[in-house]
Amino acid sequence: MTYILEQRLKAQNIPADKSCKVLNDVIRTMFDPGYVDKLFAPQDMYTVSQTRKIFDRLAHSSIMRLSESSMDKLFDLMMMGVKYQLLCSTKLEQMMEVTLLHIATVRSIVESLPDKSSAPLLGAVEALVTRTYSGMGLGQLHLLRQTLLRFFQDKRVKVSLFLQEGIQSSMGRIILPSPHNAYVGTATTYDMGGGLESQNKFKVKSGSIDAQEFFVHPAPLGTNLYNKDRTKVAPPPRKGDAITGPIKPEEEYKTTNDEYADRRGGGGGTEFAYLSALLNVKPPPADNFKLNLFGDDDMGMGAASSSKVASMTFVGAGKNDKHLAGVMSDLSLGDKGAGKGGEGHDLLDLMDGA
Amino acid sequence: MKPSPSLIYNNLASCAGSLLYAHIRQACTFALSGMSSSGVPVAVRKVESQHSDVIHSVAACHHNAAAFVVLATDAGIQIWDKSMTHLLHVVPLPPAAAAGAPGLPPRHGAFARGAAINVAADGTPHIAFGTSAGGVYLLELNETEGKFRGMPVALPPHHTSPITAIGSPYQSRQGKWSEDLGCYLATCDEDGGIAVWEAGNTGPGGCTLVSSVPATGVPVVAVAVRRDIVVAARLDGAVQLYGLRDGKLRADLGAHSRFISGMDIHPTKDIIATVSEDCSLGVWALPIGGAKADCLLSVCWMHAALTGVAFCGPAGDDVAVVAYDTDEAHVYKWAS
Repeated sequence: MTYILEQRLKAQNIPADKSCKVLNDVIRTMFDPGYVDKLFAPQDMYTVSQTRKIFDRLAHSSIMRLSESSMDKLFDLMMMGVKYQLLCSTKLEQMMEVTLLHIATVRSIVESLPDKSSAPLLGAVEALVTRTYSGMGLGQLHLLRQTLLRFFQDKRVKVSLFLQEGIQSSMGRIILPSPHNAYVGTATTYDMGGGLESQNKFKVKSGSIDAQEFFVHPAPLGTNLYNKDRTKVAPPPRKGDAITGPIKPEEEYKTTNDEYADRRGGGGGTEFAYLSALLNVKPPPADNFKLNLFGDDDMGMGAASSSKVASMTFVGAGKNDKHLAGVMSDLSLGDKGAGKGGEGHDLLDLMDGA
Repeated sequence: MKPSPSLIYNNLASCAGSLLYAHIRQACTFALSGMSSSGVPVAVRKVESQHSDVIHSVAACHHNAAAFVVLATDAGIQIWDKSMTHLLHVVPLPPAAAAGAPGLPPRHGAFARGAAINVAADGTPHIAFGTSAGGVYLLELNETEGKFRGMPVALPPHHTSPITAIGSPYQSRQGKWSEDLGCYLATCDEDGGIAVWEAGNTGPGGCTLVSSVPATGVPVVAVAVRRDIVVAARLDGAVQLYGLRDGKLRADLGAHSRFISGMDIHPTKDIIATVSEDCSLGVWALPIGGAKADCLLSVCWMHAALTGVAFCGPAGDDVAVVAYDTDEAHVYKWAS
């Protein structure tokens, strides 16, 4: 989110003082110690719609205002970015490496601003991430990976940047790293005493497929791909879709309904009313401005891409609701409220030359 | 094929001519006969249930002519009939599972995972399932009534991390009984440990530990038992064969480069199929009983994180595969 906001603020020539305030406000809210403590408390995973709500609040913790369409697309970009990083990690420890790289890059963004006051918050979160995850075994980390991928299941959006730089195929599939290494295809047998009995090596399919088909983006996972100063990557030509499978219709890659919505009933009305109170619209401050992040046609191809994302409706009462309410209340919003509306700047596509 | 399968261990089972998988909190099933090579979508039935807990494993358990589908979830296990039309039995997660492993702080939420059918030495059929606390429980099947009964009985404490997979010779044979099967259960955990039990009966203390493989740090994702060999698929891509009674390593197959997600064993032949998140599927002849290891099939389903594999078809020779977040199933037919 910070990557995209920073790039968009620069691209739309938002005055430096406002850009600095927006980024500091968002980062200060995102890494507020009380809020972070609640996030790191063991709990059930939030649904997509609940997470969307949190990020909506984060985005509006500043003087910036985003249209619903811009917020939808920002969230889609964030979701697909994390999904890509998860699927393309070849080691479980990479989840932590990516997280720490995110935090370090956000810190470098803050430290380039005239006001660096939110920077110390990031160090505390870095330490917390390391403390929480570095002691986990492979089994726990893989359970974590499975849980996260459950969150991103059925979230399939074509991202122009990903298509251009070979992260996604033209069909929208995230290109996975190669399945081949020296170990694959080996067969070793041992005798009853544990001594080596035989060793063989079999030909496997992965060894015969052109390595270009498994193109891996050179930027480390977690890098700020939206940084305009970064050298753009031209992926090698791939047969790609010809061997991926049957041609998929475009609508396979529109955003889908939130299938992770909590289906348990009871008490949902009370919780929804509580959250609605938190989201009470207040008059925006005088220096409020509207940032319209994205053009109409930059997220992909066709009408399906411009459809709205998952509903914002908070559904049902689940085990996590009281905790979520606590998390939301810790998002210190001050006077800024969550107002929408007003006219905005003209759009610039996020993705050049889409 | 919608909805898409979730990324959990062994997310595909074959039962009564249908394939079964889990989509987050919902079990899904479709008929093999409904699949064609023309790309026409197959009709998937989402199993209607009042339960909406996250599913951690799907297993088809065959017993003689009967078959059951066992779903292991956040709340315990559900046992369905083979058509997944009737929910036959629900076992809530035992309280000890929610408490975590003894003496250790809870590291994660509580859940059930792994299931296999077995027959004890006294002839009692039962289903074994595992929990996140490392507990393994047996639930007896009353053959006369055709019902599961009583409270599940815990095996002696052994595993200290969540159970990942359970296997037995009877499970591996898909319910085709033979005298030499034995009554062994193999249980595996997230730390990579394996335990082999002999089930004398399904009462308290009815199972004794026969052998164990120490934890290696690499989780065992799937397990099968064939004659005197335990076949264990590990998360790092290795399929390892251990002696059933001595726990010694007999063979190591480099099946995949990373993140094995599933394994199935042929009901009558000594071959296994393995799939991985690295998009590859392999069918391997096991080096058992004097046979040499061999790679019978090697496929890459491009850009698909495979999540389940099952032998299927009339003779059980075909191999079905599904992938995470992908609306397709692939079936590879045995060319005899």
